[in-house]
Amino acid sequence: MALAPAMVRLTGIPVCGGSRVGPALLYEESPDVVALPDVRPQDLDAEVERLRRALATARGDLERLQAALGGDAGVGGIFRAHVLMLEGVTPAIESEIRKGIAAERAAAGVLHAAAARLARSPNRLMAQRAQDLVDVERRLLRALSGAGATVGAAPAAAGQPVVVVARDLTPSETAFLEGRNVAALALEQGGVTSHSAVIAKSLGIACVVGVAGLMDRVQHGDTLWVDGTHGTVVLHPDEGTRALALGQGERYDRFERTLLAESRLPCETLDGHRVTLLANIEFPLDIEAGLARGAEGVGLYRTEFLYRSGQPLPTEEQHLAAYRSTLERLGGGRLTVRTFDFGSDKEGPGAEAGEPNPALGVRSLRWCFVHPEAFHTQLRALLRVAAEGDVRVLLPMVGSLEELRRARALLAAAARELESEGLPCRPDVPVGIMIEIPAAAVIADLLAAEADFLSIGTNDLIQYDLAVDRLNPRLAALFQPSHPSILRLVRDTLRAAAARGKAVTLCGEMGGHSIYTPLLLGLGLREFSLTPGYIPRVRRLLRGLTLDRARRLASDCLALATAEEVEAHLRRHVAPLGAG
Amino acid sequence: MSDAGGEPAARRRVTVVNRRGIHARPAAMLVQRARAFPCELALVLLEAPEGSGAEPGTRVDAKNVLDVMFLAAPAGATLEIEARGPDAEGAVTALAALIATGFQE
Repeated sequence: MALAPAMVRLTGIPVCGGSRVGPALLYEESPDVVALPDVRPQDLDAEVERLRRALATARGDLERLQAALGGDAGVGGIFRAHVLMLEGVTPAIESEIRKGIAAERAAAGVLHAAAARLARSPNRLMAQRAQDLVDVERRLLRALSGAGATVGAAPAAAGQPVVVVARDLTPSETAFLEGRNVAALALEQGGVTSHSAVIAKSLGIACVVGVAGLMDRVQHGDTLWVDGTHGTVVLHPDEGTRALALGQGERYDRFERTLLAESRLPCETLDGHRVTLLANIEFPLDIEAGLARGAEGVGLYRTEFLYRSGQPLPTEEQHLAAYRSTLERLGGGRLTVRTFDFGSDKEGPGAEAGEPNPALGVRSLRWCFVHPEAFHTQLRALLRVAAEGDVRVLLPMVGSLEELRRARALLAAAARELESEGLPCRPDVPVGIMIEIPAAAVIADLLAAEADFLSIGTNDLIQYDLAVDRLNPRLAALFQPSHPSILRLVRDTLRAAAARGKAVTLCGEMGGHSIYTPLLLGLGLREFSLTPGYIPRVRRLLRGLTLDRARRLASDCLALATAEEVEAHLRRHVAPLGAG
Repeated sequence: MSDAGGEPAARRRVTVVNRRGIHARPAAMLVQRARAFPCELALVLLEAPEGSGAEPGTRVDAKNVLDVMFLAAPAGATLEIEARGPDAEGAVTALAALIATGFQE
């Protein structure tokens, strides 16, 4: 009998929890196509036919993806564009094959050249589309290889769940994992903020990224243990280790179920202080996820999904229908709608071409001001739906009092217009602002005097305050929620609002990381708006705390000088939550 | 790029009016509209504003989304739409209308 292969433990970055064991399904890079021999003249027709079959497969995959993401407006739109791109390159690839070049080489050559050409486009929006061509190329090459490892081919339902192993996945590839028989995801590249990580989180797949040496060591079918809580991947786990892994996985699942069962319990601290838990809604399906976890309402309803790439902006009736159906599903809970936040990393009709620095460019509210008709339409719909329930308007990227006043004036004008048309509306709908530009946090006292509520958006606040691009994996270590500057900005914002009797919600990722929950409570936060998946953990933590203890923890942290010290202090004093 | 085989049956000059030019979304709209017609359709960039980086003289197939994206016609650019084949006039009119109305942006 052959010796069992040696167990190897690899370390990466933990993305989301769960401990899963399964056979590896290698998601290969594009095959090396340069070495492929030329096609003999008598085989040219067959080669073109092979290309056409692969194109049909790729197209079918894209259409299924589009259908699977049907409700998700902008996301589905990407794949419609990919179909057009595939069609666009087909004649060039065929003519290359006719010259005797193998289909794979022809496809890679044509798509590479097209991507390179697009990347050099003077139009910045167009240059960004080069990545789409890379996605299209990989899909086509995989279809051509015929064999095995496309994500679309991952076994559905039957058989043992697999561990998908890849260097990196494009967003479409990761999204396709949903509903498939995938136990876990292990990636050699990527950071916690990469698209793959974000999608894996929302799908609830155990996931570890940034695992150096992964692809060199793992073969198809190798048994792997992925520990998404601790960020380890173990290749060929031995008998004892597997038992450990399975036990840990069961504890994790049991813990998840217990947490979910607590969703109806009131969210209050041991000493009886109430905390409001709200949901962040990205796509309509998130509403059910939030309600199932006991969210009391929606603290952040992102409206960019209403814009479908390639389509005109939504009409007033389309806005109204989306808000109304959400409000009805909430059954009396509040619905905080953020006005259009296009620009920067959220591609939309507003991503302005040729801006050298889009994060500091015409985005969000600034975009709304230069597209007054689009903003007006949205404001009219919000005023109308506000007459039907607890609706609040949230303005993103406010940096000054003038911007708040200007938006309020536009809202008032829209209300007068609706009244003159005899349409029911609520002119005094509460208007809040996002605190995500450091300047807004610094003048939170001035803003709180006029805004009805504040909402701290930590993702952008950290990005702008620390001057760290939150999507740049090479800067991931500098993206520090526990930086003393961030703690002070959050504290000052909470104080300024409290002094004026205004409520503050926090809707960034920071609120969902359980290590920061007691700190934020201690700093004075009473409303957390969270990605639905995070709600049960935060509820459990808050129910086990006293406000006194949280306040002591916060004041200790504020006395520390570096993010590292704050992290270390939190790790020492915040009891790890959960099993395994 | 499509070859200029003989004189076009119809041609029309039109100015790009939407502020961000013919980027990805308008390109997809334009191609979908063009494909509804049986004739050959080409776009020729006649003039582009200084410093836009677009190259006058470029001719592309209006039914190929990548070609139209490569063209990256900026706001203020003048395009000529050329059609060869059946319903050339109808096709040119439809594309010109789409471009002239700024792709409903």
